[in-house]
Amino acid sequence: MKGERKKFAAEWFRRRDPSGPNLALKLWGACLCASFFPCFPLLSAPAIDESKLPPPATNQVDFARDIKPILDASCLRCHGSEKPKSHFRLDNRADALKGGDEGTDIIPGNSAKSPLIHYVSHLVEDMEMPPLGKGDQLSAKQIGLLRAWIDQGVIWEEAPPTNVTLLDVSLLAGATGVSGDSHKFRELYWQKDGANGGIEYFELIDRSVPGTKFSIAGHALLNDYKVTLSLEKNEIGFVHSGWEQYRKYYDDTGGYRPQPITPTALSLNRDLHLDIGKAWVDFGLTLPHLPQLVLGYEYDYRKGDEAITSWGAAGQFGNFISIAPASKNIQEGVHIIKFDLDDEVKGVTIQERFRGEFYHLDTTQTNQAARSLVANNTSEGNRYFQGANTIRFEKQFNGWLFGSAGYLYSKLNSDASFADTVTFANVLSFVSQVPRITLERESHVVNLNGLLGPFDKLTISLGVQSEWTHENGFGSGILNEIPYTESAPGTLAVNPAVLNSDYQESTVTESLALRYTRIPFTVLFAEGRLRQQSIGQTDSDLQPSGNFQENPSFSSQLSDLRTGFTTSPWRSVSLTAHYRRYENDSFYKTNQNPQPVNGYPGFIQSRDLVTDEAEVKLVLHPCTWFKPSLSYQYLTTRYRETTATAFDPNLGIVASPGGPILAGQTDSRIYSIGATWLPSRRLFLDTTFSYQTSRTITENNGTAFIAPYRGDIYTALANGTYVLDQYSDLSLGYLFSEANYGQTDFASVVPVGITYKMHAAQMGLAHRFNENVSGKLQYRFSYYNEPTSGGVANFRAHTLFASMTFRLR
Amino acid sequence: MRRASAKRLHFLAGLALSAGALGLLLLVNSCSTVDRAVVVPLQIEGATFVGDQVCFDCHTNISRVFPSSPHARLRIENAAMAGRGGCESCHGPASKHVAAGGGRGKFIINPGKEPQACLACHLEVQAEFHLPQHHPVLEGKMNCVQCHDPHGMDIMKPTGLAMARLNDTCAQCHREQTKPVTFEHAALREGCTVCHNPHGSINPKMLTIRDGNLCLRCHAQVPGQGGPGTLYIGNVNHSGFVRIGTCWSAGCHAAVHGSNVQPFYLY
Repeated sequence: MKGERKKFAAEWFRRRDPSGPNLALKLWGACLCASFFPCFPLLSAPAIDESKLPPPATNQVDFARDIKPILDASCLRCHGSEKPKSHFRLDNRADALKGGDEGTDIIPGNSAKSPLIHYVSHLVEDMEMPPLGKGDQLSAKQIGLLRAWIDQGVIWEEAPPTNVTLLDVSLLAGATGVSGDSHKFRELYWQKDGANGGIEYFELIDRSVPGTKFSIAGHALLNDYKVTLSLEKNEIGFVHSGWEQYRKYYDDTGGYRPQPITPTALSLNRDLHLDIGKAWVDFGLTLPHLPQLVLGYEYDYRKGDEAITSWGAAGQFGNFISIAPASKNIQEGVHIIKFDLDDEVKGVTIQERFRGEFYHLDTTQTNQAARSLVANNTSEGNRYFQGANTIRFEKQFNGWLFGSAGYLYSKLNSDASFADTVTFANVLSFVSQVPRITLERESHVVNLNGLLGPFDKLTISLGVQSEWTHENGFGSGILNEIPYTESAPGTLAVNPAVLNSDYQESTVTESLALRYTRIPFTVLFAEGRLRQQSIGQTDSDLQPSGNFQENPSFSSQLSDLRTGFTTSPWRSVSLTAHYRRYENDSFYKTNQNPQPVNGYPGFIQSRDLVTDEAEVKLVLHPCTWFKPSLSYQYLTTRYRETTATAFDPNLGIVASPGGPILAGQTDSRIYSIGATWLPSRRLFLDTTFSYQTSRTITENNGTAFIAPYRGDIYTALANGTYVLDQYSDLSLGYLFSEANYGQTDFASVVPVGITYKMHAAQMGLAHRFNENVSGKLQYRFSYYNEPTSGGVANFRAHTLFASMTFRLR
Repeated sequence: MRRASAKRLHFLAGLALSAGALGLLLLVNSCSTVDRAVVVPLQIEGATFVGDQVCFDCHTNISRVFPSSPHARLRIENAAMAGRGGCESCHGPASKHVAAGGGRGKFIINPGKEPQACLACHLEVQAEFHLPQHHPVLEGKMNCVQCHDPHGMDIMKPTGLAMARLNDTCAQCHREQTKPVTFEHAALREGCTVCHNPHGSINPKMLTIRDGNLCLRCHAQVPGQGGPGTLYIGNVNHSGFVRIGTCWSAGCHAAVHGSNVQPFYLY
């Protein structure tokens, strides 16, 4: 009877936390219960029968020879420096003697009274060490050695620390020569041509102070920098900081149209690029038994000129097309204040996150001759503060229920501005500006999730999320001299205007996923996600020349269903397959009268987007040296619309009957084959081939106004490494990519499709000169051919780099 | 034409000769004996598989939520194929990591730093990252877990037993495109991926489609005044505009992510 009650108590605690993260806590709980409820004498600390302890070894114990191997093999997995269970560490003498949540575990000179010996001898129920099922019990001989070690004074002859300071540095130098479009090369390879070099990689790690780790790492190459600093003190806290910046390059070429309209593709002859970076510092507290706190600051930024696809016009009146390249200057930054708190209270994990963002953005878009003789220079500004706070709770209620709940609140207040300088035939026509637009957004998001099971090999996960977003008084401002339509080709009306908009959204998302594993070597799964959304809106742009006003409401029903299986019945085969159907039905209503009164031909009353997807993936492992995988994905999406009826009063006919039409359809198939080869101990090959074919057609019940967008993409990759000798490796790599999405209806539309071929072959030789010095020589040949740019974007490039890596201890 | 063919022939002959010479060199070299083996990516030398239970001991927060993850579809208890069992299929065999007492990056593969761990299975994504326009993951300036949560309930962030909000992941970096505006574009309600392929594309701005078909999938082509043969969108005859350029590159709907001043995103 006593045994059963004790067993129940232990089981109760085990069920409270089946993963068993904190055995000491269980014992503490048991002791607490025992102290409060003396009627449960069996839960009080049991007396230890020391006669059952294996005798201590009689020889003089050598720590390195006799004890360290035992600790390494059986203890440090849980009681090392990283997240030690019960905050008890066995990786150094001071912490071992200090003990953990249970108090003292080792009493020097008295092994018989040392709880550690009781635990490893399995004399304390539910405190067996290593825990049952998580390692072999120590033998009597091993326990005897531990006893002798404790009796002899816990001599911890730590080897002098090695590598307390470690510095790795890799220096790089090289150059790339490009013949052809160097801007295109930079865009594709994320690096500048010409000479390059610097510090490819460096890392300094210092562990000279026990329990403390300092590290600094990073790289410094041309337009590509990163440095991170980290200082960590066990069970006290950390400081993490850093700065990184890299450059994104853009080609400066616009569109191309074959002769006679445009002789060649147009280029800006400018080095367009954005510098993208961030700097951060986080201060963290990781004191035991207290919440973990992080206070941080981060600054993210993007600065520079990017190429945009809103092109300018080339050609003359009546024959102009917009294929001239354009760019936008961006000065964007956000200061972020962070506060994180993580804690666990009575088995409930609490996660608190606050982010305060001070955002600023200034852009200037230059769109020369966008409408023939008209040129726009558009400037926009935006400043906002957004505060967002998330709190989340997680709890393992019992062996089959794990739940979480979360709440997010965010509030955004923004001021925006707009200015547009318009020139006509290079003469300033007018300047229009909106000095201030105020924007407000407020969101509440509530989230509830559960993970249930397994129940007889069935696991269920489910969740529901509700979101309310109010954009009250959203976007109100006064527009001076901004028209909302062109009054005639090539001219812009000059009108004052007042704009306003309100937006209210509510969204509910439900999720359910089943995972069933009763069939041997197989997982069956079925998942569904549903979303219901409704939006109420009012938009107005009031002008003397005519008002734009509407207050549409929107509702949608989304369903995303998936089912499939994964199986691996034999050592050499693994197969997974699934089918997915995604459907989003949207309904649009407006209580405005049709504009014009006889019909609004393009007004979409409803839209139904349906995607069917099937995917099969097969992984084979027929022998130890060869592992191929094959995958096939089929995807089709249909866009169905219902539009309003439109009547043409001039012709006296129904211009558009309205009703449902198939507005568009996309079909794609992707075939992929990958294989890793290890034909000998000295050679490794990794190869991948992928073929994708797709077609998108938009039409009105069979009548297309523009040609379909269709084509094929081929990608082949091969990388290999060969061991030349004891100190040298040879590496080879090859990339091929080809796409043929060129347009065929040059007469009707601008040919913005693309056809290209890209080859890149590289070879490298790595050599280790000695234990601390190694070197690498790399060469790459790159070739790019793009007929749809008229050859302007073509290039050939040769890249040669040499690097030397040094390790200092 | 003939000169081009001859040049191509010479190039191919040169390539074949170079490859042959290299192959011969390697063949001769292979006769020599070497003690060490080639370093195979994503393998941890000397380590063996330990099984998920061992991982669960320390990584409790991750392991308890993992059954709700899309990646749990692939986790087979007692799978016949080695390493197909779960954690170690992505993180590599863990015996040395366990023996070292754990620790970040200690004898364990971190897919957050090594995208090859993800791309070894996601072959089509690997191919997309090699297309001309792509996020710089292979260049080492981004990583998979910046956007994805491989262990949690939702493959997109936030992590853990939680559901993602539409477009939140993209908004972490692309604030300019996702900030509030007076006149929002309803396409964003479908999500950024309705127009963009975030892994890689052949088109600028990682667009899935480069011409007007991108927009006309939703903005149905219907005739208006003038009858059949005209293309009306909204209340405007677009018949001639589609010949000037695409909807956003013809100098018209430049503010496709939404406008503060213009209901039709002209600015």
